[in-house]
Amino acid sequence: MAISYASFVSQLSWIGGLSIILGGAAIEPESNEPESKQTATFASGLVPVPDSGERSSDESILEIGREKTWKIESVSARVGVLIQEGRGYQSQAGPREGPGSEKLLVFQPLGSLTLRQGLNWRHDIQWAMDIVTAASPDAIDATTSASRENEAGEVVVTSSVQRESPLLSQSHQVWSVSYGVHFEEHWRTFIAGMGFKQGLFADNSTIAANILGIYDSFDAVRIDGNNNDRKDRGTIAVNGSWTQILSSISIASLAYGFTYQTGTLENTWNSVPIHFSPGQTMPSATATVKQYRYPERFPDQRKRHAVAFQFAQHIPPTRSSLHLGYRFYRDDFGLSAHSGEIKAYQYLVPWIYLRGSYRLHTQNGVDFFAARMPNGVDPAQAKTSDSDLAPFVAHEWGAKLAFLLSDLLPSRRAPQLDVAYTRYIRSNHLHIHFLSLGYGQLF
Amino acid sequence: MLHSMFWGSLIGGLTISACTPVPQSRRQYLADPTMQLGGNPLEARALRKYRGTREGANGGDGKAAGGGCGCAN
Repeated sequence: MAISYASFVSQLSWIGGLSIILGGAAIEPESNEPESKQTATFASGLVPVPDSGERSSDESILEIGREKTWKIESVSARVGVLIQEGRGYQSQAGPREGPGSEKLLVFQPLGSLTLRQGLNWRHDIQWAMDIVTAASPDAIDATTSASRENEAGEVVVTSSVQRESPLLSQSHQVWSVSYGVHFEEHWRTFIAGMGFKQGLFADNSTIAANILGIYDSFDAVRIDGNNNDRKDRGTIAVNGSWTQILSSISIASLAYGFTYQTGTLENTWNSVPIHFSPGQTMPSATATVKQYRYPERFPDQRKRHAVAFQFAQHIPPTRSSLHLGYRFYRDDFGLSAHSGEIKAYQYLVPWIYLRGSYRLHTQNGVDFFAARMPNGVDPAQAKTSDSDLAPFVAHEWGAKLAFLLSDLLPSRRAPQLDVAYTRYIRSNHLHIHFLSLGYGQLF
Repeated sequence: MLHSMFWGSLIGGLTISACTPVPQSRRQYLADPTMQLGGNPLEARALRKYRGTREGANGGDGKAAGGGCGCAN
């Protein structure tokens, strides 16, 4: 289903205009609303909203003795199950000229731990695993079942220090460094970065910038399953954002990201089917895969740009919130994409909220995408039949039910639980069910 | 025309409505879990992972647009 750009923009203009009217009205909330919300660190301001349940002594209020202590601030966990069905020409699990199966099942546990060190330091540790059971989506299964089940793991730590700005009163600065590793079968990744946030006008505005470096090293597994050497790629990303509090009930953010990649950017085990014209000799039934498929080939460099806008509006009389988001992406592979998203939150009771969401993504595909290539093409020519890089339109619907038990139980440290479901459908024959359960605990 | 109207109304609305600073004592609604722009961090990570490995377009969220996995995206 094709979505014209004009139609897309006209729909967003309508929604954007309505949101500006809501934000500009500045509906002031009732002052007797109960303050029963979870603590939100690094939210609209750069300091946590204090939990009134902890204020029992002068020492705890003034945080005397906390200068050299470590404290667990929060723990979170999530487990997701993703079921994918689809067909793509890069998959060898099917006819020689494709498309082959992209069926897979992913089990994804994730977790995070936030440690507070003294008064100003914070360490966020996030880990994730992906356990993939694939019904032959890639070439390796043509010769071995080694990757029929694939495990990947990642740990990333972000350490940050917050202080009051020396020049701007009532505003804060945050400096951070990130470091981590990703491991996946033969794949190794090393991650490092640093970031900076500055509050302005008593933290009503926040500007942020970060730089991130990623180094990937992997076995160059070929389309016939052979593994001859090791390849690598480097990625540098620079991001900037501006977040603005518009009123006591609305907030917006504008962000830009630039990513530069160099090295072996293709998946060495992906392939492109060869189309044999009438009159050309077809490979025999015993032919090797190189006789009827080309290896995927990308340019050695890639420059990627993305601009994203987000807006959130709370409606106190109905205890609802509305989020709007839009992202524009472009790179020098010729790919342009538009992504628009809307999310609506509604409190059913003070400790349960329901979220509904819809996201539309449309992309035009990279310049060198082809479902099949003719016989006799230069092996060095850029080519891919990866369905993820094809032109398509994707629709995503989601729902989430969250339970804020700290608003219900006497203990202010009761957990938050949620269950979320997402349905994702791409116009080029791929669809996903994604179910996840989440848990969060403040200390 | 529609394109210009959309961006003009957006930027103009943000500029006009940003003139009055909101003190810390009046930000209780902004701290609500339903008002966090990035959402739950682990949920956001899971969504970014499966969208990023099924679409050729990432970025604009403070992370790198590619790298870190065998997905070529």
